[in-house]
Amino acid sequence: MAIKISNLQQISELYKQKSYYYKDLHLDFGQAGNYSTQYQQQVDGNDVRVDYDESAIRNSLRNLFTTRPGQRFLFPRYGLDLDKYLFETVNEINGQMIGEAIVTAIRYFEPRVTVRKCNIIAMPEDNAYDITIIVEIPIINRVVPINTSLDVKGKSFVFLESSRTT
Amino acid sequence: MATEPTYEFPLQTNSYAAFDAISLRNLIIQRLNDQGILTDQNYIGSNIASIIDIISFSFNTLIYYLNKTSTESMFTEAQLYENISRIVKLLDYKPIGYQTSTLSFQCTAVAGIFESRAYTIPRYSYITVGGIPFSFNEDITFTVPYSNRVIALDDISNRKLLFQGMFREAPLYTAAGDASEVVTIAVSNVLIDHFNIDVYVYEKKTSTWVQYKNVPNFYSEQSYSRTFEKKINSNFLYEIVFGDGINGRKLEAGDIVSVYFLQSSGEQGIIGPGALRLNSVPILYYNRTYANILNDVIPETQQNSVTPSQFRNIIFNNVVGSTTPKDIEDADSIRRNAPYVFKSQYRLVTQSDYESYIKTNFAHFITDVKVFTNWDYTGKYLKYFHDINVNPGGFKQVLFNQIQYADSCNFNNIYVCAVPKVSKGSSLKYLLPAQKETIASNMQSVKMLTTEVSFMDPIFKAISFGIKNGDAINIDAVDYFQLQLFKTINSNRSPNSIKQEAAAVIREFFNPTKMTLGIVFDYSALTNQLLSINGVDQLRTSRSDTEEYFNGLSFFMWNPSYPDLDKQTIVNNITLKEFELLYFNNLSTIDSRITVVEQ
Repeated sequence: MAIKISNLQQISELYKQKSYYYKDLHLDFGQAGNYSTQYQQQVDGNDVRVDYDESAIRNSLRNLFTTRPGQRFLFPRYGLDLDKYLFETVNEINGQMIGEAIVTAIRYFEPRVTVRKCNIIAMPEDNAYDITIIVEIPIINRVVPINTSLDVKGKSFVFLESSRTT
Repeated sequence: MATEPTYEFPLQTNSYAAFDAISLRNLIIQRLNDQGILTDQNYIGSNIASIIDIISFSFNTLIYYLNKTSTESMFTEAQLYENISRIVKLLDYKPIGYQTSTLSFQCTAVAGIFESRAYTIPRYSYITVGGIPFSFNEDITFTVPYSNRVIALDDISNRKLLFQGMFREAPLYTAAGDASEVVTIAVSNVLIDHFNIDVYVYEKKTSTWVQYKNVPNFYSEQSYSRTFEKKINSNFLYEIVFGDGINGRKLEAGDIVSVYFLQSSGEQGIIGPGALRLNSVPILYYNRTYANILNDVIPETQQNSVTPSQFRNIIFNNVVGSTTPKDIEDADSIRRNAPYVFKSQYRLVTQSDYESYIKTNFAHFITDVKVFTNWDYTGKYLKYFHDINVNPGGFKQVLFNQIQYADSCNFNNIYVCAVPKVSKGSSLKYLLPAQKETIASNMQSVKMLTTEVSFMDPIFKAISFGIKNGDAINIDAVDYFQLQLFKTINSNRSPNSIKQEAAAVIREFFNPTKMTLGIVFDYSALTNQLLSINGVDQLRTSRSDTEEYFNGLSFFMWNPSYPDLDKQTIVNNITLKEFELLYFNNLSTIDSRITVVEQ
């Protein structure tokens, strides 16, 4: 006998109607558009550009990583304070602490994803950490790697957009 | 303005004013959810959520300033000192600053030190009492009639006031010669007495120091009048404004301005009775500029200044303690006083003009004041004495005031009935002669020409627990009466705790520092307050040496000067006469007059 879960059924129907689950504004603002095979070029639409599903979630994760607690007045606890590691020595212990902070923050603030793996590679010679997070987006059944880099020397945290989808 | 909800938005059109950041954010999210175009507004990390936050918070900030500025720009609503002081500038009202405590004194000159002639204690000389300075704000002249005996200096005893604090000289200011030039006394975190700021100008053209006179405003001043206006700016600093050459003399380039101000020690400067006698050191004020100023301001022929050793041989005493200082006028006080001052236009004509002037300018030694016309005086005050069959002249305060202040033609008098400011536990009942002198002399220049300021002292009314025995009111037995509080059967409170709370209620109700003239004695309110004490079921007034009792509160009220002639029982609300002041007899021992009865 088949088991029917009504919530999932609703989601499935919603997806059929809209063909996406999550929709967020794209920043910077831009005009929406599609690539026209007929004209073989990008054709502008009439609306503001938006991000769907995985891109929308990626927006959220980027915001999470680049926001410090206290910066959002209405959600003062929101954010991930990776900046404090910029002034620490680059070693495995600190790398482990960074990893724990990332996993905890994602668990609290981004319920749409599950962290599968969080690899932190300390690179003392370059004064940097190479951070790869592999997250699963259960609703669309997709696993996504996210690459970031914490450059201690350059005092910067970079969210690499070149992450690929598997 | 329409307030009906519009079709599009299920909100009142004016409901924007009630939003804060959170409620606006929730409303935006709800609207976006209803529209179903975007989904990520529900996830706090999304871009759209960040934008919603920015909009909501900006809106919240704007609404805050909108509310703040809309109320703070109104005379009736402004709460911030800076704003109300700017608003009342339209009415040309100058808020009153800090007023230091004052001290009335008596003094005697030691025999053999002085010759028989007139002497002057120069202005700003001071007496330190255990390190606390008290200064003279004017030159004090007295006459010594005999050189070989101890002389009570009646010319100044009880007639002049000492002001708590020491005079300081502000840095000298060299004028630029502008019209309406402003000199700021740039000393912060210092308590400056509002009424003791003296300004002297070294006029380059004549090479002399001249004292300038403080005026409320320049409008009535001649172009040559040596006057200044004094105001407190929004940073609580005093600004001295000089004339523009049309109203008030304009400073010339190169004129030098010297400002002397009294720096108070605040609450630490209060001293008790007799402190001057025990531990005082009189010191003559001196600095170089001051000496030059004094030489120019007071003609040499009038300079009979006491020497330092003579000053030290004047014995000072104070039978009452110093008054409590009055803090800088707050926003509410400004709001209350500004319209009165505007109405009066710095002239004292009506009763309210006099009352508001006295309350504002003498707040450091007065808590309440009522002003009576001659009709009121005879028809109410003197009538009171006639009603109780007493010759008013027999009441020493009436006689004293009449001799000291009234002129031979009584019908043009106005009578000031003032309650002196007392600290808790103080026994000062009437204004001291020096305080009356200060009030009378200060009003001289602004009062109506045809009126004379006289004084009438308040009639004190004592009140205490008491029960009438038949028709008899026995004031002598007043110490035997007490208040019984019946404890609720189920109450867990200790009797002592109930007693303490009841005593606190009565102490606060009859707080002598808050009593005003002609109050309504609110018997019902006191009864309600006592019955609302947790654990109190019933009140009873009883006599401890007999079995007499009265269910509820019963008081005796009497005039302590005439306890046999003016006495009554109070079991209801009662309004006192305008010149009557109520006090609870032996309030300090109220605890011993309350018992708690367990049922």
